[in-house]
Amino acid sequence: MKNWKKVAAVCMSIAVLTGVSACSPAAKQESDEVVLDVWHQFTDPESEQTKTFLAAVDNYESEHENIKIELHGLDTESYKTKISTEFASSASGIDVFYYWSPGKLKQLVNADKVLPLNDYVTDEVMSRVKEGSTSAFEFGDDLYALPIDSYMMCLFCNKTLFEEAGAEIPSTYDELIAAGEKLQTLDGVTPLVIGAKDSWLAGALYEAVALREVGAGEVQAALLGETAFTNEGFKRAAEKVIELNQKGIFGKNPLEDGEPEATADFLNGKAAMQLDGSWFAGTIDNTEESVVTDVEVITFPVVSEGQSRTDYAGGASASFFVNKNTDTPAEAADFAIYIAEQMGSKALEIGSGFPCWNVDVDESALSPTFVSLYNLYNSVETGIQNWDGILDANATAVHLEQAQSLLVEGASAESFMKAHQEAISTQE
Amino acid sequence: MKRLLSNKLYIAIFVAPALILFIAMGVVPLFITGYYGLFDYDGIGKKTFIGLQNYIDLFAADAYFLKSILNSFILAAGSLFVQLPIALLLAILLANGVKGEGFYRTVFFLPVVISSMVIGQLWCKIFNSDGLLNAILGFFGCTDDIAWLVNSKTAYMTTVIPAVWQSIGYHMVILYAGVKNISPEYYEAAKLDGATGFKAAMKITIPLLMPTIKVSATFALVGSLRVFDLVYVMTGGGPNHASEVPATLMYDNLFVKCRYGYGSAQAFFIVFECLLFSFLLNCIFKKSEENASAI
Repeated sequence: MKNWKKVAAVCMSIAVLTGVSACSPAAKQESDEVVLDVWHQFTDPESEQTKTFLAAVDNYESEHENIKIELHGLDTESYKTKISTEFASSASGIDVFYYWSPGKLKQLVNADKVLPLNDYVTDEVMSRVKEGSTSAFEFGDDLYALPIDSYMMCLFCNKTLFEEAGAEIPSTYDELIAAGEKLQTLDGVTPLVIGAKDSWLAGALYEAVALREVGAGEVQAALLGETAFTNEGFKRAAEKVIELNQKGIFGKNPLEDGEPEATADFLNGKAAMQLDGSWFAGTIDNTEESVVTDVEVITFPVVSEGQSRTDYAGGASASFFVNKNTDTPAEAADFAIYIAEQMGSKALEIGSGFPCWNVDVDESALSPTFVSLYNLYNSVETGIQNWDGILDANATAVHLEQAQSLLVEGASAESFMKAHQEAISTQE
Repeated sequence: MKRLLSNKLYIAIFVAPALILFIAMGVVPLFITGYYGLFDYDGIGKKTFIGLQNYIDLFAADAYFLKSILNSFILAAGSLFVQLPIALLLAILLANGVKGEGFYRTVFFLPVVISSMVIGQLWCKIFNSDGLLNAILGFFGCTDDIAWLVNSKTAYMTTVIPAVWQSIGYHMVILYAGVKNISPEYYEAAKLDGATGFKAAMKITIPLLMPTIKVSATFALVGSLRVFDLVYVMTGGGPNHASEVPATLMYDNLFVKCRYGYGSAQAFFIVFECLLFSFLLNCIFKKSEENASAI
């Protein structure tokens, strides 16, 4: 019994001391420190985007002594899974998170998981954002994030290989086939690498053709369910992808390789064209081992002569959002706005995309491929995001697996259409 | 001690920690999963109760689920009728004192230690159209560079082969321990009766090994029914769902398509299927086990 009393006395003493120390000035100062848990997908240490992101985080911490940023980074595919799982529970360990809008974000907004930033975005901040670039982040009257940059899907062409094969850079679908046939005669060269093992790239390929077949307005309307997914152009686009594959334009087995392998092929001079986002320009210019020296960037060829080329696949789609359950909404919102502006302002410099912020562009500082890309970007008008940024999760999965299915033996445009019609019509 | 163990309170106290952990980590999540399967739920928003609709849809409306079950049965057959016999043969050979027994045991067990991700990548290199298999076939005059991994007729088999290969060592070690456990007296007695080598293996080793074989068979069967990692790494269930197994479909529904209710129904089915087949296997092995214990 005596021992019990001793133990109780020691416990009481510890409790009292802890209580007293919690009220001391030192502890008060400590409790003023705000820790922001920031979830992101910038994990490639070689990437300029990662370097820019980390530098911006360091700057923010040094400018705000009471704020500490805890970073939680995963590569893109793992990140998507992990963050969905987090939000399926309380997501209590997330204050700020990188995400894709409007498609994927809509689900979180509907579940009331995202903090609108209306109260935190001042007129002064908005004056620095390019007009019209926030639409992907608005639902109703609420603005959920400020954009970072815009991207654009393009065809990157290795002009040296085109010259060797005596082929012209294609501007129409027929020219693409003609160039592909000539390029196939070069030993070990794939005319156009897709990296379709990564399903979003298979999707991007189909989307590029569909955009030319039906136009940005019709694509947008069909994906949002405003019109049925019955336009014959969608079917023709599927048939064209099948045709290109059967003609060997994408190599023997386009589904065997993902984006890294496709990129390696292009940079090693084993592929004459690569379909990828604008960020690929930075990769081309910053990879020292690359044997590719002369690159022309074009938008995807049109399907008929004289067709307008002003529609493009791309836009502002991803940014940093604030978890509605955060304990520190003001600090989290301030950081989300800061990091979007910092990364957006550097987008041109690092070749990741086109800034959605008003920045002065010094073309002499840009990489050569990016200058060509920037000129192309200035010539297009109506952008539509990759479909996985617009469709809901289920329809996205169906779309991407169906886009891959166009590249297998026995592919069928009819079953492609049927699967899309079912998936898109059941979207909420 | 005997008095202590006859007191039910003490028994309860000793059993409680493990039992509580088992219930909390195993039984409760299982029933929660089954419960989620009764809802139309995207994992984030509101849940709508739809009764058994998800469970009915598994068989009535899902174009791929039945095919995925069939695929898992093919792997189960490969595991039971190819993997286990090879493992048993190796176990008996090694336990009979082959020179370099320890070395061979380590070599056969090595694939078990290696991560499935690495094994998957390794076999992808073998099955790629410019991989080792086509190079060997090319040497023998077959110059069609078959894309084994992305051909819907061959994709699933490319995952079955490494899956069967990888676990041979695992079952070999279990069976090897079982063979080593058999008293040498049985073999001495059999030798006097003229049974050695193959005959001794058939009449002494295998009958006495039945309880161990049952354990191995259960692991092999259940492992096949819930296989995920190798299929996910090598083919991702493609092309066009040709190599789906129930667990890859479940993963897709839970984490990619955000069909949390439906994915939960699939998860619950996989557990139920594993329990059912474990029970059936127990029934099948009951007689042989009784014979073994009678000896």
